[in-house]
Amino acid sequence: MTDTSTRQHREVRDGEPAGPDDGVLTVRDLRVTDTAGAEILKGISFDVAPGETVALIGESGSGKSMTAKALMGVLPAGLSASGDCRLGTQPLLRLGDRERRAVSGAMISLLLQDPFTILNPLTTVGTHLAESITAGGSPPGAAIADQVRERLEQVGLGEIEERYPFELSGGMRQRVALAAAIARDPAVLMADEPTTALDATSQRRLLQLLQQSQRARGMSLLLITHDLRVALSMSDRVLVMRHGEIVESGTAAQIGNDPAHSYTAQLLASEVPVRERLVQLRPVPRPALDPAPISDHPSRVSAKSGDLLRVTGLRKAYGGGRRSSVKQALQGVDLVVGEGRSVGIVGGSGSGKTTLARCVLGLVTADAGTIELTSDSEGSIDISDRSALTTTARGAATRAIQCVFQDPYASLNPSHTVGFTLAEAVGQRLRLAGTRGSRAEIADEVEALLDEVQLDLALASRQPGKLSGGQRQRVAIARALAMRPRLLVCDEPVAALDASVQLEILEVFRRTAERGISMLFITHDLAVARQVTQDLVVVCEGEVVERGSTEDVIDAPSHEYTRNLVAAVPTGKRSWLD
Amino acid sequence: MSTDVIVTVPSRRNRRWFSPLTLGCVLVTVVLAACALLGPWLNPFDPHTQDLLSPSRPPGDGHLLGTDALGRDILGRLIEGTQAALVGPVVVMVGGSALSITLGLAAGYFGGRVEAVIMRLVDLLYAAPALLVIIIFVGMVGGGYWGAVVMLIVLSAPAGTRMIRSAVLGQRHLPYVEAAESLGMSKPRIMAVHLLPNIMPTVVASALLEFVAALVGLSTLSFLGLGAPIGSPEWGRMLTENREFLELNPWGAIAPAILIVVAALSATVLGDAISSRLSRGKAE
Repeated sequence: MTDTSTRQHREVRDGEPAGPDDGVLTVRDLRVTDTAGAEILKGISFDVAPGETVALIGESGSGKSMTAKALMGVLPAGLSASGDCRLGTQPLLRLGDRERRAVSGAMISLLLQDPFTILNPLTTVGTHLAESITAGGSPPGAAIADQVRERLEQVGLGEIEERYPFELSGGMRQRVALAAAIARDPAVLMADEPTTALDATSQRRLLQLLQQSQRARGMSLLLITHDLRVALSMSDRVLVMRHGEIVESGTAAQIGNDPAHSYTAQLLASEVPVRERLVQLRPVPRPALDPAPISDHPSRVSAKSGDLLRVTGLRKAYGGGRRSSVKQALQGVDLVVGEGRSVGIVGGSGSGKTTLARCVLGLVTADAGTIELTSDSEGSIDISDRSALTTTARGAATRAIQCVFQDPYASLNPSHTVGFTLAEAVGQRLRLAGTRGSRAEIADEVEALLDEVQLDLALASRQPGKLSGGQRQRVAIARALAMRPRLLVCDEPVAALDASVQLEILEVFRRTAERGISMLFITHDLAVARQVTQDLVVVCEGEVVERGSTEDVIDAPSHEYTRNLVAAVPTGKRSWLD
Repeated sequence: MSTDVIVTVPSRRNRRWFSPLTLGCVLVTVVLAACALLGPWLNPFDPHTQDLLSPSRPPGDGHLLGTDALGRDILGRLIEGTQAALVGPVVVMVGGSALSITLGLAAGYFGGRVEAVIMRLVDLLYAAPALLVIIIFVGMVGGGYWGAVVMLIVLSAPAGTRMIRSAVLGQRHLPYVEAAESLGMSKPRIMAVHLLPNIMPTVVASALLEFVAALVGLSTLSFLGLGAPIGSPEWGRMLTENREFLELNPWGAIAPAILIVVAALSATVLGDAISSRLSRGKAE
């Protein structure tokens, strides 16, 4: 660990952001360029003082992860970093391999995002931690075993040394990774989206833990996150990044209450509140395509009556082969989606939300229970086992229920153009209906679909690889709408998108709902559920624990599990982590 | 939310997929294809006229690579033989790929019992030493060159099937496949229209590998006296016929050997280049 008394006093040069000039980590004019000379980081400067928490926020592609990677010396091949970055007296960008090993882990450490891939699946937790502690080379032994136990206790984990990563939950893995990252008491910890892959309750607990460990050690923390609310409640200072530059820096209070840069203000405005349903979702008003204002009264749309979908006693178990134990994903779920209603399904990871969606979509067949779909022509049919249906009934079910998936990067076929994908869906609907459309008819409809999700017509000839995440998700929605469905099943459709894009896509969903299409909206984010759903069903371990109107459930939760979920939504206030 | 900064802006060097090596291989392939297509009609060197008074002469005297035991022009015979040497491998490549694409897609997409049956069959064929089986079969039952080609198709498909199946497994559970399923599309359509284009890099790589294996395999069979009929100007055949006169005109045996190696190498390098080009296109 660096002796703080030997830390150099540095002169702050002109034009650089004023900060503590005796920072334990000083970054001056950090640039990252690729082989073609394009700059990914365009000369950023900041300091992190001892014991300080600095948050680096920005949307994807802003260069925040690159900053951490450059400082750790783990840039991807083809990228090179330049600038004057110091940790105490160590020049971080000019370390040789041997010096780098002495610094990494011991003085500066990096905690990564994905708890499912950061631990070696073949080593036990104990081995992993022992390795982190003894990286200097001291021999393993009883002393190490004690240390490992102590480190695990510090992150709130019991005796799990003998366990393998696959036996742990995401939150537990992230705690093990945290224990390993701070095992050698680094002066600076950089945490790159440490909670993004965790559900809301685990996120809050991990952030609390991160804050405690930091305070206990006087460690500096550079928290990299896309979530402004998390940044505001955790950090002393906030740096806002965009396109490889720091556009604004200030204390958390300044940034949160009085942002100076328009981009920061825009980011703040993009955060969806959990306590209210916004009248207007888009931060920037769009041209008056439909001048009808969106009422904030959520039940306005339910002009139609009757139930569209009725799920009764749905059960589904996975595994149960010779080698695996049975996991009950759904344990008797009842659910009703009224005609024209949008129903939210919320719950933590592993609660069975996605399994429910897949059962309704017919992608998996439930073990027991019924899924009744009311259709105009045939009355009510049980669609829980699609293979048992007649071809006509199966076609009708397919047309009636469509889906939008979470990952817009994988839900479109990368080999086909947007136009092909949409035309195929339109053609499929006509085929299922027993008719055939002319080329011109299909082309017209593709055009109408693109217009409906507000995409430029020119995008039809592009492949998904050339589109942004938001554009891809619009295409995915258009593809679902091409079937003219009566129920849209959405599985975390905005979870992979940046906040500002999230708003736009939520707006598309709202307009879809206004057209009378029912929705089953699966999300872990209560704030998102607040914006687009009327009814809410809370699931926990495959069972419904609470249901009611969205307002009632969020504002006055009756079940313990729901109360925890509501408390776990980041507020952007310091009190959130207390 | 994904926060990995995706490094776009591909540099100029990455965009160029014709490295000098690849370019050389394209050139070789074009020349060989031209020889195969036009050789029998536009051969500048007469491959058939015998000159029994000047057998097995070294290069010179109007014969760039010398003559064989019957005084026929070696270069002329090499050009003439290109078609015979390449037609078989091309047929094996097309047939073997069709077989392995069908089996690999079915095994990877359907899974379960279909997969078990296909893959055990593939394991069984994979265990058989291809060349030995063909030698025994063609030697005992007959069937000649085309019999060997058909057997090579069957026996080279297992390797491709395995590669394609594993590529399909990588795609099978991606949401775009589920999206196609929830649009109610037929399974053959999902396999042909949605999965196949996304495993093209693997398909191309496996096809070119089958080509190379067939080229070497068929040349070996001809060398051993099976396959191409005696007296026909086929590379493997020429190699074995001129081997006995190595001291008189070494080029008679060395030239066809070099051609076999060069053709096989070019196909491998080309397959590699196309396949990595295709997968880079996917990544962008």
